[in-house]
Amino acid sequence: MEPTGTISTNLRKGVLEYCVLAMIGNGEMYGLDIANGLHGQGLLTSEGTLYPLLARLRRNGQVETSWRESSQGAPRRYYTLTATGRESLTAFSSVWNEFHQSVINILNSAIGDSR
Amino acid sequence: MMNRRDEQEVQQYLSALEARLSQLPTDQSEEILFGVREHITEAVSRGDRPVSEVLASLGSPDDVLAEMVGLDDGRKSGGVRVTTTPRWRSTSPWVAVTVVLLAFGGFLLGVGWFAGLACLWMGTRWKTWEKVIGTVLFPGGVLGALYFARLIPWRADLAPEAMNTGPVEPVIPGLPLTATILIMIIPLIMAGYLLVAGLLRQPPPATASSAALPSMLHN
Repeated sequence: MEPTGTISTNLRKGVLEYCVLAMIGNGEMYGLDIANGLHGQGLLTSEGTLYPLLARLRRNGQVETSWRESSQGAPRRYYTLTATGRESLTAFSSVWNEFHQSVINILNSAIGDSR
Repeated sequence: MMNRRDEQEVQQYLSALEARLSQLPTDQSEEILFGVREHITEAVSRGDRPVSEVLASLGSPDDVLAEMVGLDDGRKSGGVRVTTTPRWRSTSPWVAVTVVLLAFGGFLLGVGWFAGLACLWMGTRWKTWEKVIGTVLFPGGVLGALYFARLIPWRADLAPEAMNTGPVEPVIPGLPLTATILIMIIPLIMAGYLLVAGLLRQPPPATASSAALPSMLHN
């Protein structure tokens, strides 16, 4: 039997970058807040792994960064979605809704057959 | 606000992370390091978690590097090809052996220094600029420095116009011996620096990260 941890890890790998895009959404977010949000939903175990992902999203043109003055001292870097990032998120949402429903249907039919 | 012990703990983590990311292109490693550093600074300033918990929640430097590997393997988007280095190249014994070979390997028919050079560049505990300086200071280690010092014409009788005269005193009395000793110290100083830098950049203990959070790549 495949461990549930492995199943969760494999599923997270496929959706994590889109969840990052969704978290940022139409606003701007600070890296720590993105990490806390994802961690709170159980989607990010090692918070440091967010930063390679953010770097990749920036290189692919899906997010961009900007600096804001902080009351605590050094300027902070915020992430916002680009037009490419918003299109990517919209496409994922569409695919995910169909995919999610398909999986639910198959699981329900499998459960029904087993009764 | 962090106390001195917390600052050391953070610096140790960032140094270990920097060493693990050193195999990436500089712009990528710096971007990741900046993000993590900013994360730590902000989390600590908010004061709702102790530093040790913030660092544990980040995961080990190996986890962060493994995420780059996972991104490259999973997408094949032409991103950087990252190889996970064998663990033994990140160990303290590797650091010690490297330093000894660099300093004294020249006495092993010269081959030992080249072995030390290979260990230096294969090691993961040093930054690239440290490896470059370790290479040029000093080729051949202590023996190489001694040979270089012997080549320098400290005495006027080695100048072309002095070829037909008798023995001549050094340009400055005692200069050859003093200068030779100073030149031989250079590789020892460099070896000492590489030893300290390499040993200080230890990755966090595996028990800390595995106890706090499972790695994303338990495949």
